[in-house]
Amino acid sequence: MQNSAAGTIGGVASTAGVGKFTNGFTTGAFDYAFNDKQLHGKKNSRALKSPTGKGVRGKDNWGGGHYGASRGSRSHDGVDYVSDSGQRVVAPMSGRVVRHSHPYADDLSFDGIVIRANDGAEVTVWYVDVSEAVKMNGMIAAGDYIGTAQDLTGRYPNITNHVHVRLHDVKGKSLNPQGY
Amino acid sequence: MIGRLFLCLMLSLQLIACSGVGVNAEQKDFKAQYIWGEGVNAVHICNEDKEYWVRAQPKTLGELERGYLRLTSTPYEYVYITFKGELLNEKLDGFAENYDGYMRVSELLTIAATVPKNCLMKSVKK
Repeated sequence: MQNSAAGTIGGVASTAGVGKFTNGFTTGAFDYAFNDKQLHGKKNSRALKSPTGKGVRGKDNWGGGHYGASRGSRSHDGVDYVSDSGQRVVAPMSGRVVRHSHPYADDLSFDGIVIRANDGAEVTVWYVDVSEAVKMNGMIAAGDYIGTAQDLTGRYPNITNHVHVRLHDVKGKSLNPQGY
Repeated sequence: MIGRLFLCLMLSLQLIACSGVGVNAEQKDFKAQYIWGEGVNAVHICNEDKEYWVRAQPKTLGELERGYLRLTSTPYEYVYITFKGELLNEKLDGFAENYDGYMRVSELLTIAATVPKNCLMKSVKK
């Protein structure tokens, strides 16, 4: 139920998307990016492209996937976009691929990459089997294929599979990938 | 022949000593609040303002996770643990980047649902 609800939200956003992001954030026909102005009512705000083409993970037994969701004494630093295990995943923003990043130091089977934009902001995408075609230090455009979504249910039973997207500005400050 | 064996034995002992296997001067007993879930695996040491990402061998991680799931009903509740461990001086990566460091839990001693009143959680830098 949560999956379908999230998917519907993503679909609406995709249909309604106007492709008017600025500062080098590209949109196109194959674009599931959220129109942040419509979602949040903020003028001139930007939003990253959903890397799975789906919406944000709703609340399940493992918490919610929206930015700022509770994580005990802390809050969720990023947005979880619903995924199907094995589906294609695309870059949420344009920039240079600066490094691999593993969400868990004790389990390197979970993978991801960090992309740095021209302004120094860095987006991290986790739970992706990163394609060998993705070159470190290479440039990548929003919407380019970066790999396939990983299955989290083995580690967290019944969790809604997702790709985690985290955005930090050049000073390391956390930003909401859906509107910043 | 005996001399060569003795030499090999001494060399092996020296290598073991240098690698630190089984020897750790920083190992201490800790009391803490523990939280586990997707993207979270951390200890908040009692009465301190630091929260550390947990590192452990698979066996110990399994004990923590199973114990946590047995004692909690909703995600991201804190439980109380006592453990032997040490702080690690390693570069943080992944979800751990938002924490104050790595804590290696080498042995879980106890785990309980109720956090004692004398184990306070001071606010942490988020």
